[in-house]
Amino acid sequence: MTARACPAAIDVAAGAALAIEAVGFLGMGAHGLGRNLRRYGPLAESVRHAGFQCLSADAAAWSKSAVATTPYEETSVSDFVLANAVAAAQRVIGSHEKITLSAKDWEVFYDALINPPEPNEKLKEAARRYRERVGG
Amino acid sequence: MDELSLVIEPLGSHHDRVAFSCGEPALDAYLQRQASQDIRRRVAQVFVAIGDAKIAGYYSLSASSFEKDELPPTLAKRLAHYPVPAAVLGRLAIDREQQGRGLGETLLLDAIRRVVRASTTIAVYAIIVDAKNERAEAFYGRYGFRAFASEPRRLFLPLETFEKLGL
Repeated sequence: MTARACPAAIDVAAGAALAIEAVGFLGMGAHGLGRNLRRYGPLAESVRHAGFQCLSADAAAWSKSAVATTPYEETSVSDFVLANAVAAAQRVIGSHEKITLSAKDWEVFYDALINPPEPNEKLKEAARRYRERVGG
Repeated sequence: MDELSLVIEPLGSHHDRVAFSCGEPALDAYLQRQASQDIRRRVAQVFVAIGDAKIAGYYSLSASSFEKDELPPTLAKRLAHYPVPAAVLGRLAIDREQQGRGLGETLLLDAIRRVVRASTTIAVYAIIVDAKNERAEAFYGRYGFRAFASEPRRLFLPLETFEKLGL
């Protein structure tokens, strides 16, 4: 990971399930795009309504695309543009994916951050082996 | 493969990825068709282990942040760093010819070391792993990764735990 690991953030106002499903979607090639465009209709809708609030180093590149600069109110969104919008949203969600946790999961997650567990023996051994292997 | 000759480096166009086969078609396809694009678009960073001039294994890292669906106001006040930024080890795969030699562990530790080092310049509070199957889930579990109740294939550990490893 480099220092530019968080290149972009976008508020697509999509629900948790959508955000998490997007992870799977991201791994898909263009082949599955048509089929999943239909499936991800709600996301495309969110993308349009979010008006693409790009807050990133990539914003300059993005702003050159029609998708990023056209307010949704003025657009009759063709399937082509919509396809680009969804693909672009997937890229951004992927590059800085927001994951929403349930109350129970959050509790487990947050508790571990506040009280970080000691690494277990296997992890410690693994670290020793790794240091030997790569020379620290 | 001579262990000493193993090099872990960022995936580049000079790496031959066509021959890579780990037994999980989605992970092979990712390396062959998607990884370069993700790197170009900064969606993910992909690192490969090279042995005998071949890709012996790879992993991908990306950035993410975690938040609670509806945070009670009392708790929200206490969370200075909300939502919580995290690094995601989205994929980790070993070529079939190299499996069973501890290379998965080496790549896991390499990823952990990279994130720990990056955390001196960017905020990262946890490492999340996405296990593709039960075997992978068990693999991470053995190193102490904790699963989310509602998503058992997604496991995590706080960065502080890894910082104690002295990597």
